[in-house]
Amino acid sequence: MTGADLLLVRFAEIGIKRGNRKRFTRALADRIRETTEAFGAVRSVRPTHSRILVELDPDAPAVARRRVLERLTDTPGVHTVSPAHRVAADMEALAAAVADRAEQIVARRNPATFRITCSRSDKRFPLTSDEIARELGGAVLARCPGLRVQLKGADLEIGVEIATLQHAYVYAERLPGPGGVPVGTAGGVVHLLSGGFDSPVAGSLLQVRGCELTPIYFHSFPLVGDAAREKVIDLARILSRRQRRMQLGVVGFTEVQTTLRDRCPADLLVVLYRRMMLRVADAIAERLGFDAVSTGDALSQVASQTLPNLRTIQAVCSRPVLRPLLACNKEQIIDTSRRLGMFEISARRADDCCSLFVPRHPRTRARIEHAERAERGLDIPALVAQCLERTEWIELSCGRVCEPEDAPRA
Amino acid sequence: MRVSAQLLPEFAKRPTMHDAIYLDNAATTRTDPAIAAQLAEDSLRHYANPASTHRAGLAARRRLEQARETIAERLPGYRVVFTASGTEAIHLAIRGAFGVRPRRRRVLVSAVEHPAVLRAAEALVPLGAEVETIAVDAAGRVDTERLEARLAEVGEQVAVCAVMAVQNELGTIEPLERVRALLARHAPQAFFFVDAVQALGKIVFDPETIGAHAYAFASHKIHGPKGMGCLAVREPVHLAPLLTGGGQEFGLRSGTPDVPGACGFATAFVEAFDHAARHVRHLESLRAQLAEGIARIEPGAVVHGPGEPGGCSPSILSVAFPGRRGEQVQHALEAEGLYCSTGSACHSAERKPGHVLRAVGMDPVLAEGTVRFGLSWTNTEAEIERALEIIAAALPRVPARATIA
Repeated sequence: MTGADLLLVRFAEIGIKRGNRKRFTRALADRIRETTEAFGAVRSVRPTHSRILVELDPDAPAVARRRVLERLTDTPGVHTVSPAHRVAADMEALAAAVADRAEQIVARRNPATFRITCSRSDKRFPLTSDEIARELGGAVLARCPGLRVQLKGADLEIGVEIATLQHAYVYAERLPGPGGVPVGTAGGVVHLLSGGFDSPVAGSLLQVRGCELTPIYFHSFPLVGDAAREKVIDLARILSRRQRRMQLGVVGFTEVQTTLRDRCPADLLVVLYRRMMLRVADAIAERLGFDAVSTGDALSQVASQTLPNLRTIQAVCSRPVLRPLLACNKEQIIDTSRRLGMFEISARRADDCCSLFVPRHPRTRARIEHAERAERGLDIPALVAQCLERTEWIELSCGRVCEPEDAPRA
Repeated sequence: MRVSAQLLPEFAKRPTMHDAIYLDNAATTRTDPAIAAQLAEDSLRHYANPASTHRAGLAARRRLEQARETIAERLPGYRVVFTASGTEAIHLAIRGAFGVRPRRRRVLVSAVEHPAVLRAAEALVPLGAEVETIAVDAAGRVDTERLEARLAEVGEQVAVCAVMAVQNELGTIEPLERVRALLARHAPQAFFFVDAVQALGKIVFDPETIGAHAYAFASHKIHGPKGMGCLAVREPVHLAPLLTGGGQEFGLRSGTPDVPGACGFATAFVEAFDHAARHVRHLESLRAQLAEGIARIEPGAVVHGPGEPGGCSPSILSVAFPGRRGEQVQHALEAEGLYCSTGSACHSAERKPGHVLRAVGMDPVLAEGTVRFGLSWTNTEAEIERALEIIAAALPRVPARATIA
């Protein structure tokens, strides 16, 4: 990456979406611009037919340039990224550049085999891709006699792209991105976020499928301390790195929980809490014009996640409830959590509102009529309205909390 | 984290120390006025304990963690542990690493290490450590051939090896990548510690490429708050703590963290680290200006340290006025309003040539006449010009050969 002039971004599934290609490419370029702007190291983001070229500012500090690269490798819609150098499109300059690159890498990690991959965007270039690759391969061998050519599974791949008749790009790495489609192209979802392991991972998967998240968190202060809220903010910050802007709703849930505790059977409480949460999420989605809500549910993991309970919970929601982790094992979830840097946050000790007042053995097969009977006599619309009213909105952008929200509680 | 000018107290806008020219920046620096103001503000507003679980405590914790993140993202792969000084960071690294390597007893330190490193190593002797010093050449550079020969013999037994990034008295840049390669070959289990206190912002160095296990930094050398340092330890972290108690800083350094100090340090770290290349260009030009000026004033003056480009930190000019006493030169300059030091001000109570000048085998006459100028990126060409006028005026007043027996 040291001293790269630009980053070559290859898109993932965007390539095959013929009709929508332009829209997806533009969305990806926009997301790249928005989410790297704060680093101050990007000069321009230019979509071309098959690539997005992210031009770096050569005077920006190394840390800022590295952060741009890190961001791109975590940007939904990105298939791979290659830090590249701009070289004049003539064989002499290319041979020198390619051999230099090979020499540096040989000194660093001692590969045994290599290949040159060449492509021409400008077909007027006098040599074919194969001819170019062969000639440049010769230049590498002349400089690094210890290397052998191997076309499949080489230790080192040096790429050359002839962009125009004037210039070409040389790169030696392909760093994988998350793939998928750009955030926002699928629309917005209201996402139920907690301080646990699952829901942040679920949110990140939905982002890779193009969802823009509006997370909401149910906070029962003072029954649950603000350390729990802090965890959620930290997790939302990580998710917000992929979005220019994110609103995190902290829903005041205390009164709902105490009301349900006072008036409903204890073994149904978890299911009833979840029904209230979905009602609130549904109402917020209604206001925001979103078509879905989402959760981190994984089938059979805890009591509220049996099929009968999922059905009873879902019955109150008019929108589809997206559950990307439904069929995931805990190990997969934890792996992703670690990879995204969420694990240490989720592992922090803090209380959780879902366990409040809940008996040791909650009901695993609550039918819809059980729940409805338990809720009879409650003014549900009033409770939902109260939750909406007691929602604190925290604005996040690109990994940071925007408002100074460390002011003392009013 | 810039503060508006109106927050600055009146005195902060004026130059310090009665318009004296301060060229003792290797000893310590003036706290950046904006950081000082921020420090005052944070001390009054964000004073909660970051371990408290109420909202004020959580806010303090977030500030602390943001400061940590700010530094850590510049040192990928390293965990940042805040300490109260560079010295404490050094002790945590050397003693902490030795403590978790019970089967290896040898501690290698370069002969020109800062006393904090030497004393930390000595403190391990009662615990069974065998401390060896690595010789240096006349410019203060670690003799890597001798190091290699020694490592070939005892490499397996080495617990800790400490070589600094920039020598604090001479400015010598040590060949850390070479040391790292030798350790990788002969002593792969050894903990490689780098005291980077004098390097931060003053040379361009890439901690990742050097690949040491830990680096110590001090805030006050880069215009940050006093009483703040940190140790950057490569993951996975395996160190024994020096201070135990509340288990703060990942259990590596108990004691309530200094949140305002950490925030100020992080701000200073960014300025130093991100703009190191620019600082170096500026410092190189100031150092050349100062060295050339001194050569004109006193043709017999001798500049210490490596002479070749890139061999010496541009922040330090260590120069001998043969036949004079460094202390008297320092005081004569001080009388005219120019601050510098003899050798290293951190421990300048010593009268005889310090361990560094002895280690490089310096002629005692030169050693005695040595003065150290410590430059900062905040110094200006005009200040150096003025400093040279002061040197020209003051030097003839210092008796030559007067004290040489």
